[in-house]
Amino acid sequence: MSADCRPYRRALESLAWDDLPGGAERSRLEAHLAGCTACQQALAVERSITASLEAVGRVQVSVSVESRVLAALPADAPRPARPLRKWQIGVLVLVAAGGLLGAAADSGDLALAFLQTAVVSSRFLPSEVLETGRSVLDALPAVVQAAAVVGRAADAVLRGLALLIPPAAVVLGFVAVLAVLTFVAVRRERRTAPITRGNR
Amino acid sequence: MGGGNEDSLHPSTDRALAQQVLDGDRDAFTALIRQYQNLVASVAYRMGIRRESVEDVVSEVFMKVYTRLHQYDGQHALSSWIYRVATNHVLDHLRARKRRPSIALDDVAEPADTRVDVSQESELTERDQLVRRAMQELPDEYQRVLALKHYEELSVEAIASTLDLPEGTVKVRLMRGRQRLRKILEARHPEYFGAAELAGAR
Repeated sequence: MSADCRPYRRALESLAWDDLPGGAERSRLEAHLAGCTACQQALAVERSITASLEAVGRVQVSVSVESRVLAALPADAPRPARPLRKWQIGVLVLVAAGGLLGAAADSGDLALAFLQTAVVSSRFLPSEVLETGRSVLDALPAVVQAAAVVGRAADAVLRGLALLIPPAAVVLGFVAVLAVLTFVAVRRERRTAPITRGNR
Repeated sequence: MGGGNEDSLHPSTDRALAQQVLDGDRDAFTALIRQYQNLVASVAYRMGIRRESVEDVVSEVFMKVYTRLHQYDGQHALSSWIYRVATNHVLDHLRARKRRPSIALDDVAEPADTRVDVSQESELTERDQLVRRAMQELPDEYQRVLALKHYEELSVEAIASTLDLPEGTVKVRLMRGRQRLRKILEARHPEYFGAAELAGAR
């Protein structure tokens, strides 16, 4: 292949790999090829490589490994875990905290807003979490009433505390408790690792 | 993709099957293996796994599929996701074999009672086998795109989607991969692939 051939090299590769659409470039290459033995041979080599790859691609292999794989799984295989992601845990904690806050403030609107958030975010949650969520929703009226009672009691306690501690400290304390809860939940998630390979 | 193309038309079926397996349904996992084991075996063989090791490798791939199924997002076809798990595992396996050549003894130790059925293998010429072997010398990223293009006959767009790469990257890798492949073949086997060299100086 001489220096004259260089400009055609890429087009020639494309042609050999069936990637060169018709057009001016292809016409120029074909005109060059007609008079250049070196490029014709280069094209033949490229095409033979394509043909070989396609031949390898046609090989089909059949196996039957299902019994072997199933036998390699532990008998009472803990099913492949779908661990909670950190943000999912975060959403859960926030929603729970918000619900508590709403109840504590005896504010039906706030509690409702957080419940709606919970319903929307539940689309992204795994089924086990959803089932728990559903049973909670079933028990909702009773829970709300109980929460209101708790809320009023908490309110009274907080009012009492507020006389002793500045409100900012109460908020900070609440945030600290949330942080600890999230941390513990994330640690637990890491420990529930998926099953280990059993076939070695 | 090796008989799996039609699956991409039913992503909801894929998601449902994956969910059943995640819920601990062993029959669903058996069905999943039956549906995809020949795809995985073919991929493994074409990429250079020896015939005697194909069953081992396919089994290992499905163990990985089982433990990682929660990572399947349901957006792509399940066949594409399994293809990706399979190629990653095969490339790891080949790399380990290259590092420890003695491992080839394991392959030999397995007797001929293997139930692997390879069709159209006999139609592979020596030249085809040389190309198959030369592919293994390419860096992984080139092997992946070339295998998807020529073994699985996917379009650039489909390759990009399967590998989660921009189409431009796929095109560049295809081109560079082809050039490297040709250079390897020219250097090792000029009797088959040296016409361009013989024809004159560059």
